[in-house]
Amino acid sequence: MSAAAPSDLHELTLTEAAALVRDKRLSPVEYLRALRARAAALEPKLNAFIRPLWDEAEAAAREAEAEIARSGPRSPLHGLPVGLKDIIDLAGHPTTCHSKILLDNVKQEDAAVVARLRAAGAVFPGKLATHEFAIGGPTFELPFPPARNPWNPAHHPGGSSSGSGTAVAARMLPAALGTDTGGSVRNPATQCGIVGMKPTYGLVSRRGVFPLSFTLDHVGPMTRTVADNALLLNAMAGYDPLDPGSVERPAEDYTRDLGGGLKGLRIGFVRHFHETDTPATPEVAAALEEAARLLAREGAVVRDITLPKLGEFAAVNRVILTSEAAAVHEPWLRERPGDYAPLTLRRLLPGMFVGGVDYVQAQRRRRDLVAAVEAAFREVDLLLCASSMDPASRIDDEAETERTYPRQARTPFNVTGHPAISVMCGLSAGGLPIGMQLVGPSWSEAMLYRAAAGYERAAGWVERRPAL
Amino acid sequence: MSSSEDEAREAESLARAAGLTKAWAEHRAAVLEAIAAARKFRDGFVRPADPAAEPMPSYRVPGTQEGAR
Repeated sequence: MSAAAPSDLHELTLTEAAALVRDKRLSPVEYLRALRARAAALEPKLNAFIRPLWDEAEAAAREAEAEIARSGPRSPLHGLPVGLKDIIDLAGHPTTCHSKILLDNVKQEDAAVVARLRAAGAVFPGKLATHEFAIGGPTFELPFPPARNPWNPAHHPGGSSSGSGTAVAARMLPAALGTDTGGSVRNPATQCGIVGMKPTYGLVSRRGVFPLSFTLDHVGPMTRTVADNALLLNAMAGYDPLDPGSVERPAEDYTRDLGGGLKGLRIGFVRHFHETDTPATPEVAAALEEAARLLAREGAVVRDITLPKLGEFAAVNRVILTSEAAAVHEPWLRERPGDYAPLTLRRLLPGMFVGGVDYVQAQRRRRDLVAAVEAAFREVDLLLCASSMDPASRIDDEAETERTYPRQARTPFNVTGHPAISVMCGLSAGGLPIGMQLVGPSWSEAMLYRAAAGYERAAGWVERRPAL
Repeated sequence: MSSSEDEAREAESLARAAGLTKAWAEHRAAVLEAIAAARKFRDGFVRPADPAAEPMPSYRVPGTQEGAR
């Protein structure tokens, strides 16, 4: 029933696996077992999984296989595995948020996005590592070890959707869900050399996802290829009347323009983000310049464009995020401060001292920042900018991680809610991935996928893989 | 009283006002760092000059869409 040799099944992309399952040339059970074997070999050094659920997933894959044999697949995801960052509810299992505080937080219902994936036939082989409550950082002072970077396990994989990035890049899973409040889908996508999409705010339901910051939180797909990402978003997106931020829109096929190429697209290069606002390391800057040249060679019209300074977006994001997070965590910050890792406590406590006036001022300034980015989209179709300004630091180098984590250009699009995708655009001298972002107007995910797929084909970075 | 004693007294007052008595007792350095960070945050962005500038998201009654402003 399998087209690929069993030892290579873990290399299948989601799209390839879906086609083979549809044609009854791949057993979802056999595929899952290959991934499980891969995880068994790699997990001791990568720590992507908090809670492996391979047996439960295999039972679901077996049911899927029988149903597919009877009546064909329900959707391209039928029988295929998707990992879940452990702030996303999966019925019957704890959502720990990688924290001592919620070790026994067993949930009775799936998160809305998980319910959508389950209805599409996906199976769930595990809950994946995160930074504590999606705000800490890589730290060893938690009930579970931190995930490590498959390209070099001595380095962090980015975060906070750290286990999702690690599992996908290491080919333990073809796809995973992450969440993104200040860049937490796109950071591990960048640092692990995969594809991460932060969709438009309101496109994917947040119900059943532990909140970090209500007006900044997004749920997004993480995959190895752009096509896989679009395929996964197809099943994730949709109106949820029980999520107050959800927006009712017609369903779209996000794979529809994947072959459209770059010709004619007008791209604004936000060069000042990485040149003057937060200067990138030379190899990151060089990779971005080369990406801009390649986009132009492929037919895009690339020009510089100016947005408000990165620091302003970051400051507005920080005031809103810490205030809203403090509102979520207030009882525990008061009663159980010692149950957080020290790093998480340091990240959360400032929100308890941000005044109400400052919060409202940040939300007022946010409207100006949104208007500035909207104005840019009257001149260009999409934006190109940096993601991280540095390759991933060593996971045991706390000072360097603390220095480099905030050196990024992802928060602007949490503030504005515009969709943003991270794709690989280089490798550092040390062999660690470098990523870039493409950003579009609200609801332009299909165009972003078109542009990112065009870049992916032309650049060839998708063929590179960690030596594991 | 020295200025550092004043600052410590002020920080303790802020921590107590925020309900962080336990954190002040057990994680004082983290609380002091948080107070300093919060002060720094507020200088990081420009305040809108228009007194009528509306914060995002605007309040809207259920069942309606936010209008342009």
